[in-house]
Amino acid sequence: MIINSKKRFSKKLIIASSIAVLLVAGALTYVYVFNGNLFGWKSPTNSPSGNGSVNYGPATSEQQKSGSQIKSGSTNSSDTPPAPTPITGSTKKNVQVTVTAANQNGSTLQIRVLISAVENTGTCTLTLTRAGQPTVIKTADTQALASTSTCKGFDVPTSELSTGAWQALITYDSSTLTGSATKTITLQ
Amino acid sequence: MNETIINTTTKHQHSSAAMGGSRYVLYLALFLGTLFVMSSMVVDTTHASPVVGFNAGHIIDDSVFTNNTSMNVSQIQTFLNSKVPSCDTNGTQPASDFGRPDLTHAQYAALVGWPAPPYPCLKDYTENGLGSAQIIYNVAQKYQINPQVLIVLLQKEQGLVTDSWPLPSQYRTATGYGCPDTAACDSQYFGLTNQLTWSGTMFHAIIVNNPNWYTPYILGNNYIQYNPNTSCGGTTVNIVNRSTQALYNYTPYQPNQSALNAGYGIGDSCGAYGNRNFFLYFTDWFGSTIGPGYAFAGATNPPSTLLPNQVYSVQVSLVNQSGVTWYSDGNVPNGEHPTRLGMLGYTDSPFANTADPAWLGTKNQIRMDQSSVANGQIATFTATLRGPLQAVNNYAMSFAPVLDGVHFYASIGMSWGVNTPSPNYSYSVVSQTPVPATLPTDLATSVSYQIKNTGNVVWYTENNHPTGAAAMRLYTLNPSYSASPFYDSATWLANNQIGLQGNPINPGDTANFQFSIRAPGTPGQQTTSFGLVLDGATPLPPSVPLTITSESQAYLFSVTSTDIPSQMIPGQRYVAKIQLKNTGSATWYSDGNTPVGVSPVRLMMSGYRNNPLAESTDPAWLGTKNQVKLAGISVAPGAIGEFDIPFVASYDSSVSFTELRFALDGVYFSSPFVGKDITIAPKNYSYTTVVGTINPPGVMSRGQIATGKLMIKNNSNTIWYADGNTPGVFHGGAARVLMYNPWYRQSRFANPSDPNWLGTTNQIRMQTPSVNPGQVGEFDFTWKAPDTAGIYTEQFSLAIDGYDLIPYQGMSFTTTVQ
Repeated sequence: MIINSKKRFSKKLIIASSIAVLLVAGALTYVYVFNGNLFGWKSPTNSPSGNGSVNYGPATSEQQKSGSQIKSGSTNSSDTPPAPTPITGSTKKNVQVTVTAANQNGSTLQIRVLISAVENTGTCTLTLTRAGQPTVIKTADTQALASTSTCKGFDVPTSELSTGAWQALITYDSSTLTGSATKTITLQ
Repeated sequence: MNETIINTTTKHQHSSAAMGGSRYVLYLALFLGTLFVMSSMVVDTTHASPVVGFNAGHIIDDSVFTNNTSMNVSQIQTFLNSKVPSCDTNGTQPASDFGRPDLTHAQYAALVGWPAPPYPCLKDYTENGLGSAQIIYNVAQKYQINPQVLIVLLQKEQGLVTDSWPLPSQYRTATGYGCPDTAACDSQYFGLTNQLTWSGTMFHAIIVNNPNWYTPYILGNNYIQYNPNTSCGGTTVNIVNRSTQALYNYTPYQPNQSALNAGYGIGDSCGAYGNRNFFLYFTDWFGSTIGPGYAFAGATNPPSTLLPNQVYSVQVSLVNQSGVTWYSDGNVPNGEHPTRLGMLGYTDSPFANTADPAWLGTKNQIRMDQSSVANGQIATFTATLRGPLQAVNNYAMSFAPVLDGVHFYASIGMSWGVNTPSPNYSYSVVSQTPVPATLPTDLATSVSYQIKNTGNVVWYTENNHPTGAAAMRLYTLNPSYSASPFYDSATWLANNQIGLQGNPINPGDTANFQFSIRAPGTPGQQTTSFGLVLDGATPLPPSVPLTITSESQAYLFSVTSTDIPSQMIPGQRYVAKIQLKNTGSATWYSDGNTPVGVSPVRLMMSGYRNNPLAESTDPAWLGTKNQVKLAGISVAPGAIGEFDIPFVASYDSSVSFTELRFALDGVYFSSPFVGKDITIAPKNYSYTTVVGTINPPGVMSRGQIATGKLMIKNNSNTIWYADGNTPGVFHGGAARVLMYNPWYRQSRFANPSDPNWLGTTNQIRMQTPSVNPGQVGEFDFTWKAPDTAGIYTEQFSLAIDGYDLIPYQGMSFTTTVQ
């Protein structure tokens, strides 16, 4: 004969508490999923950010892993400009100089330069040459940025140039670094 | 073989009820567990997969980049807390994150030459007395940069947000901002605050296009490498906005395809990850880097309750941040589309006022007001809402701009909640003009009802209602819409309906139904009742009956006799009699003798024009010059009524229009005239002096006073009146002797103490009260000789004071004064 064990919980109590928990769970779901706003009579307002949804959850494993890689430098080394290289027979080192923009905007030729070092004491020199045309030379100081620098220029009035192909030479010189870049620019 | 049967039932000793209870708990657990999984699916956006949506020329919108109020300090702190639930400040946790679970963080650090603990996490870090959340927030406010951008910057440069054991060097160059060769690095560049400040400075300078801040990249085409190694190449990228330009200023490389394919991971040797990671972290933590394309700029909101029929003008102002120009309907260039404000999902709104052309014939889209709105400018959308004629319970209208035929812009949560109560059409009669108990047949009289709108519906009127919406009207009852016997086509909409004019009647206001009723042509008692109805809808139950009852009576007459003279002479008085026979069914009552509610019968001048011949001081004229009392008390049907009309002919007109009509006071009868024109004879002045005239002496001493008398026979066709005896409202004057040569010459013989000189020195009054043609008028006077001796001749004639000078006929006195 099997003797029924003591009822730990009365049947009614189980049902009642289950219903109560269900109701609470439902309410929590409602608040969480619908942001308590299924009938949110909101006058038109500006949202906090473009979409107004901040993720307050924990970082994902990928994000943590990415953070560790950043910490160890394996990620950001890929974003670090190359270090200047020694020049035989010179105390200066060679720094990478790149022409990043060369755009004719109306009556101005805009030339922009990226210098792969953080310096604000160097000088940039822009030399524009074209056969049969007077050479145009401009100089500018440098602006230090987060991980690079740029020349404080160049906006050259096209009135100083003729149409056609010009050779642009940018040289950078500081007390410790030197570098250059060239680009052919065709003016309309 | 004996087997021991294990009774599983005994092993698991559960009552059936408890087993049922366990099932409940199981199902509950499953339910909650599913919820949890679902919810985490809702929020957890991971990037095991390649990056989607990265646009090298447009990494982030300016509106998002500069939204410096996106999070407050508390929210930033909560965010930082969430990313590192457990900080390993003392470096005691296993270095699994660096592949050395066998070592603690501190041990791993020692192994690779990193500093020893403590390792304060970003959420706990303080500098100069401020927590990192506060530092981030302060920089965001000072440079108007979204704090979320700064948070992502700290993560992308040093992994500080997710790091559970950051090293001091990570705070030193927290945002990776390099120190130029000549600067005092430690004091000016390094440390969390300095690093964030330099980042903010640079970002802000680029956003505002500070002319003193140079950048290697400009708006427009730039060559952007994939990697510091130039041999990895790059592409020309069209940088569309300053925020994107600022990001490249910071990290001057773009991710190649291998970097994008790797999600958060590492790509090939030409990969660069700074800007990719910025995009990924921002998107995963804070939502899209690309804003919705517009921002809310203001609104005129509707009230939370719109009453049925209530019209309300609303407006929404938005800043166009889409990067392209918005065009309104009717102003769209070829190939473009109009921008409208649309209800999300094109859901019809019950509050759309379709009579308003702003809704473009829909219930879910509103026209833009301006013909075009460039990027960065403000567009407004104005329309009217109208409460429907049915209850609407807490309806939410959610809306966003929509590029017609292309796409809806993302919602930023704009919505209006409006409800309309169930329509209640109750009304009460405040007052009404009394209707005469009797009305003459075929005659119209004005009636008005003042009816208060005690319901909650706005009543529209005939001349003030949205197209297609119904106006409130009176309609006939008993039976409904029956033709009313009092219908007057001049003011009713139909023989069974009367309209309302003017502004809509809001709940609580009172409508004035102003109309006329016309008594039927057939005599007899008639009744008409009204209720209120909304045109085209079911009539409203009348709460108070509006009933008009009147007896239409025939006021008919025939002219028995009239002795209005055809001609009168100036000054003549005559009481004309007009006798009319009452051939109608109504009894005529005279003024002062009318029963209650009955109007008196009179004769009335057409158009209430004043009759210049009226001797209006006579009570027969009832104190007017245009209405004449009925003689006697009443005139029963069949009897003859008389009007006694005192006239006095004037001196100043030749013809008088009599134009008298039979009338009931307050009602103007279109009946034929019963009077006729009176002609006044043209004046023909002539007189002679006759027996009885006493001339003053021919010789007088200085200052001597003598008496005189003129007896003058009236040979004219006018009647002369003496001063003090002229008819009361006489268009004429008194007859006088008047000095002549010139007229009004001052006589040398005037006696100022003689009242017959009328206080003048040139006029003498007549003694005889009135003188008809052929009669003699007497003029008595005293003649006072002047103080200077000489021979004096005084000439004089007659005058009608204020009107006529009767030509000189030779009357004169010559006196020698000694």
